Amino acid sequence: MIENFLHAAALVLTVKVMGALFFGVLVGYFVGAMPGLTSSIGMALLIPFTFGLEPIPAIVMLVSIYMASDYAGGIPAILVNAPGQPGSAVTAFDGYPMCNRGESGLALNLAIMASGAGAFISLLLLVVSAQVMASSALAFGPSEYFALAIIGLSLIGVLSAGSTLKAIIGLLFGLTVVTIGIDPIRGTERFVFHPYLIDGIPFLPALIGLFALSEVFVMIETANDRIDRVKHASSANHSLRTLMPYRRTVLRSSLIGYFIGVIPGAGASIASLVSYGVAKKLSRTGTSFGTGNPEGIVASEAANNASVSGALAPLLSLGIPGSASAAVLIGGLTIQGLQPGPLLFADNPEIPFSIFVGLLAGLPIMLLIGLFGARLWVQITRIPRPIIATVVASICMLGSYAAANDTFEMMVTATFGVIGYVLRRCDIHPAPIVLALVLGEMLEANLRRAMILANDNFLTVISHPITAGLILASILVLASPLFGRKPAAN
Amino acid sequence: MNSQDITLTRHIKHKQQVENLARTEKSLRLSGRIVDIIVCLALLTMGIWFVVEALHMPSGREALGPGTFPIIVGGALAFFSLLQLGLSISARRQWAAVEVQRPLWLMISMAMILAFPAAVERLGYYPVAVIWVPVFGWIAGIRSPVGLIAATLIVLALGKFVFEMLLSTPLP
Repeated sequence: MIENFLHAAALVLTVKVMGALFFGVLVGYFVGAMPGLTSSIGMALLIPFTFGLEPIPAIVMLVSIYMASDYAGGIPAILVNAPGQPGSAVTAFDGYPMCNRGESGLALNLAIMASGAGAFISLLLLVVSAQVMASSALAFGPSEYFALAIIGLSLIGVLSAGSTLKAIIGLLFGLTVVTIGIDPIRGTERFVFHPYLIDGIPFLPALIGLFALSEVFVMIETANDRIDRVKHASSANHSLRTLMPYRRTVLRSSLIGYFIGVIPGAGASIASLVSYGVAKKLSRTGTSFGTGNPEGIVASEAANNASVSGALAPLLSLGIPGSASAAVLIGGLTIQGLQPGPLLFADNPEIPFSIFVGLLAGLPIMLLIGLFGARLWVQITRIPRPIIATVVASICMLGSYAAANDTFEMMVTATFGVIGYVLRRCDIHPAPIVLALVLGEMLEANLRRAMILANDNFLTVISHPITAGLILASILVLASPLFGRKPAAN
Repeated sequence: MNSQDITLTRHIKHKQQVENLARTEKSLRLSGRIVDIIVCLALLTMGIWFVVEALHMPSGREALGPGTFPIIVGGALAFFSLLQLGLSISARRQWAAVEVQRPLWLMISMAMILAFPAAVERLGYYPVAVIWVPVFGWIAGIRSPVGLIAATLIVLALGKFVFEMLLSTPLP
C-alpha cells in the first residue's frame, strides 16, 4: 500500500496534475457557492473539458470539484441563508442565525474547519475500507454483481428525495432507457429506431441533459427571484482552536457522514441531517440548536463532507455509485477508458491511489481558499441567474458535442434536458434516473451471465450466500416504507 | 441636469422597465393532480411500448433472451406508473398547484434548445451562436446589452479557445 501511495504521490505532485487540482477546486468553489448549481452539475459540465487530459489529471480534477463544491456549499448557507448544495441546507439552521448575530466569521471558520476535519477523517476511512472492499469483491462473480446492483437500486429507490413510488418510477425509466441499443450478451438490436441509437443512449449527453440542462430551465423560470444580499459578512477568523471544543462532534459526525455516504442513494443531505439530529440529542446545549448553536454547524458540515469519501468507497471498489455525483464520476472514468470496481485496484492501482493523494493534497488548498476567500465566493451569488443560465446552456451543448463530435449528442442532451425538467416538475428527480443508467447494464449483463453459468436455474443463481444475503437485504429495504416512516428526504 | 444625473436617471428608468417586465410576466398554475396524470400516462405508454416491442424480439435457447429484461423493466414501469396514476386520481387530499413561472419564455427556450443542434448542423456553430446566444440570453432574462454581449463573447471564446484550441475539438 505504501508503495502505491508513493507512486501515486509522484504522479500527482506534478505541475500538470496540481494545476488540474487547483482548477478543479476553483470550479468546485464556484459551483458550490452558486445556489442551483450542484456538484453533479459542475462535474457533468466539466467532463467534456477532460477529454484531452490524461486519466490522472482528469480524475483528480473531477474529484476536487466534487470535494470543493461540498466545502463551499456552506458559505452561502451561512451568509445569505441560501445553501449552495442540498447537503448544506442543515448548515443554514444555525449558520444564518449566527450570521444575523454578527458572528459570521466564527460560523464560517467552524464550517470550513469542520469540513476539512470531516474530509480528512473520512479520507482515512476511505483508504482502508475501499481496499478491503475491493479485495473482497475480487472473488465476486456475476451473481454477486447482479445482487449488488439490486441492493444499490433498491436503496436508491427508498432513500432518494421525495416520494418513494416516484423514485422507483424514475429508476425504472432509467432502466428502460438503458435497454436501447445492442443487447450486452447476444448482440441483438433492441429499440434501435434510429441508426445513431445502435450503441444505446449516450451516457454523458443524457447526464448533461438530465442534471445541467434541466437546471437551466429552472433558472430561466426563476430568473426574477432574488437572493438576499450579504448583510453582516465578516471574514472567517483563522484560528484552529475554535474547533477544539467540538472535537467529539467532529469525529462522530465524520463517522456518521462516511457510513451514510457509503449507502447508495443516501447522500450528503441525509448524512448532515442525521448527524445534526444525533448531535442535537447528545449535546448539552441541544435545545439551542436551530437558533445559532455552533455545534450544529460543525455536525452538519463534518458529516456533509465525510459523505463525499463515503460515496467514493463503493464506487472505486465495487463500481456502484454512492451518490449522483459519484455516478457522474463513473462517466468521467469511463471516458478515460477506466472501469471502476475491484479490478481497478488490481490493474490500475495508480488511479484510486491518485484520487486518495489528490484528495489529501487538495485539503490544504481548499481550507486556504475557504478561509481567506469566503467573502469573495459569496459574491458569486450576485451573478445574475440569466447570465449563468445562458452560459451553462451553451456549455451543455458544446460539451455534449465534444463527447463524439456529432450533433446527435446535442440532440440527446436537449431531449433529456426537456424530459428531466418535466419529470422534476412531477417530483421525479434526475438522480435515480442517472444511477439507473449506470447500474442498468451491470444488472442485466450480470444476471444473464449468472443464468448462463447456472444452466438457466435462477435458484442456483440466488443460492450463493452473498447473493442470497444481498437479495434478502434488498427485499427488506424495499419493504421498509411499508413498516415505518421513510428516512429523512433530501 | 449634469451628465451624471442623466446617467443615473437612465439607469433608474432601465431598472424600472426591467422590474415592470418582471411584474407583468404571468405564471401558469397547473393542478398537481393533472401534471401527475399526464406524466404517468406518458410513462405508462412508454412502458407498454417497450413490452410490446420486446415481445417481438427473437428468443434464444437461454431462459433470459434479449427481450426479457426490457419486458421486466418496461412492465414494471407500466405497473408503477399505473399505480401512481390510480393514486393520483383517487387521492382526496388537497393537491399543491404546480406553478410554472415565465411559461412563455420557458417554452421558447426549450424550443430554441431543441432547434440548436439542427441549426448548428446546417449553418455551423459560430454563425448560429452569434444569433442564438443573445436571443437565448434575452429569453433567459438578461435585459442589459452589456450582459448580452458579455454572454455571447464568453460562449464564443469558450468554443474557440477551450474546445477548438485546447481540446482540439473541431466545431461544425
